[in-house]
Amino acid sequence: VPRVTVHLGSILSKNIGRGNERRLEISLQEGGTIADLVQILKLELEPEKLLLAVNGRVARPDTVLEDGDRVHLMMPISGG
Amino acid sequence: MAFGYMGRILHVYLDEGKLEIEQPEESFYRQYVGGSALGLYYVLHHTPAGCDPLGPENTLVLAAGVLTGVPISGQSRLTATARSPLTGAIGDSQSGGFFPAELKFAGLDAIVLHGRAESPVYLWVKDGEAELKPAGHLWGQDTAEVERIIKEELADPKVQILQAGIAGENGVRFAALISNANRANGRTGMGAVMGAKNLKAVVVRGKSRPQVADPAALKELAKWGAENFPDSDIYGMGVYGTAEVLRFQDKDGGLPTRNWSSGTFESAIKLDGSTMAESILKERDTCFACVVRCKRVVEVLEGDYVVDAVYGGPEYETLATFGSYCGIDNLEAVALANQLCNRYGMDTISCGATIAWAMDCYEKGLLTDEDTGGLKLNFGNSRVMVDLVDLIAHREGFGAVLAEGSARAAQMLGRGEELVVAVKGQELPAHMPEVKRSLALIYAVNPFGADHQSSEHDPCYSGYPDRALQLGLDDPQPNDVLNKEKVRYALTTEWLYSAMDSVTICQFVFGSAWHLYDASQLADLVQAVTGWDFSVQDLLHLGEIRLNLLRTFNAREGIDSSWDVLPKKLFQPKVGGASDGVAITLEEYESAKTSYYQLAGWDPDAGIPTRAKLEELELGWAADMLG
Repeated sequence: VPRVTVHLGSILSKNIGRGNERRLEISLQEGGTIADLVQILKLELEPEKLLLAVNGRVARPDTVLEDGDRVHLMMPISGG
Repeated sequence: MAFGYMGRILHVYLDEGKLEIEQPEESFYRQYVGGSALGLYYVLHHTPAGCDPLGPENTLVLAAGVLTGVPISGQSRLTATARSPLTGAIGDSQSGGFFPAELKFAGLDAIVLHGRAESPVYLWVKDGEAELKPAGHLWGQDTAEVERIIKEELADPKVQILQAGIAGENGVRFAALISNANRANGRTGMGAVMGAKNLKAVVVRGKSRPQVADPAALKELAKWGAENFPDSDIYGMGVYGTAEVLRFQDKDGGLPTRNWSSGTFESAIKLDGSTMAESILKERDTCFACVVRCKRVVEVLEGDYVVDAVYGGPEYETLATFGSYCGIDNLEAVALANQLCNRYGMDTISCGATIAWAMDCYEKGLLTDEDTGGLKLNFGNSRVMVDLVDLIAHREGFGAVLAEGSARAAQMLGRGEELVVAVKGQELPAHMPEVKRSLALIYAVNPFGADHQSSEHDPCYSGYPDRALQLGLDDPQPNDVLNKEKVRYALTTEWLYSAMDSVTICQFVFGSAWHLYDASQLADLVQAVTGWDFSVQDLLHLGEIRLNLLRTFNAREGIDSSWDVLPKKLFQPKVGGASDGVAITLEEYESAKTSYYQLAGWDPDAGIPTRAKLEELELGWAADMLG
């Protein structure tokens, strides 16, 4: 079973009641994707509205996650 | 010497070839701190009212800040300040990279450039010793070539070089200053000011380091940043670059398209940071001592638009102005336009937006083939867009007209004024006030023309309430309103951003929203470096000083509230996407402007600083300049 480290942006961690707890360990089913992860976390947001990265690289909602992956789920910034 | 500073400001009198070092008291540094505020002090004292922006009397100041060169992310920043040849108002522009830190290492806090050299020269500063060297052989050379030649002749590959490119030599009104051939003090035409001085480049190198009052506290803050970066909201900017926002701006109806006729572009995804990362991105780059690594380096080895990695890669603003503004979805063409701007030294925002204005005019029949020299300036014509960038830099053909910027070009031609999307003559950046309403106010009132890095954007108020609270902002508002509380938000964050441009730091790493460090940590950092008792309130006070100095310069030139005017296009409903039918109303804008002047403590009609306000800020000398 793949187990991944999830880094949550500040707005997302607050949205799911985790306050400043930004780093979570989550287990997924084999072949699980970022979209699945978003559901497991009950983020109640379409994954297309999030900025996504896996192991420091660009990722998409259908990116399949593997054991040990570092997944970043972030709200896009505004500014810059 | 004051902690954090090198204690030396170099005055260069280019007419006489004379170099003088000034060593200010700590009280001077405590009042003006650095960067923009410090630069404005010198510009106001050394530039006579009414000077020609491209004449010898226009003093140009290059200033680092109190934090520049200390080992923490986001501190290597430089401000360039002078009267703007693009707007006629004050000019002020920031950049990152490695030059700012090296300027401090070379023993200087700032350089004040007076007069004009008889023939091209460059300034060479090494370990506190400065000299002017001939630069005739560098004139007319591309920025990367100038980098190569200077490093070779000084036999030091690690010198840092800030230069006016070919566009600056040619007086393109939005010419930029370029360092590392890929970083720009882009806005307000500071490259043209330096070029007009016959000063090709400033070259720095040194072994000095600024002394820090509390090294343990600095180390703790740096360690906190490095440890928390992977869990921060700015992490994505490292992965995607600033282009991370492009597809989201589009979904929100906030991506300016076809010269601001729409807020959505059907091919936005082709320009997005994700597409760039999976196609032309070669590597990520960074600034001195920064963990974020948001800079892009792109490369295209073959095809119609070959792009050399030496010129870096496009930011969000550049992708929008050469892309969606022009109806162009060819990422490689946009990357080449970015390259040409870095190669010749031009602001990508004003350059792309000016071309988009010309395309809009052409599509509407206001410009003809006769005007353009046969160039088919239809939206979406990427070949012509790229060719025009070249023509503008060299002031050739129709490029000579567009080198004046869209507002002056419209005046010269007597056509297309209603399609100009600029404030005070500076083209709008790629964040739409239609969906982030406070920007309508900030774009209009900002003393150096429309700018997106002069305040926090609307979604940050409700998105980051804890951080807004540090500034005393406790009543979050929706994105699409421009009420009194939103005006308070705009002005308060404008003070913060003004302070950030003076201390001087990167507005991605520090800020009051999604940034790595918040405002309170920034104040702690200034305190750690200087030993001063320094709070968020001190930051806001510094920002207020800087904003009042900017406004004082303009007032001295007769620039008042009548210049705080939004372009007509913002009052016209956008077409398509999430902002379909949305427009700014004149009523809401005028009401916000009145509130803003009141809150700033300025004359409610003229919008200029009162004597009472300037004296409250211990700027009586500035009040004296206004009579």
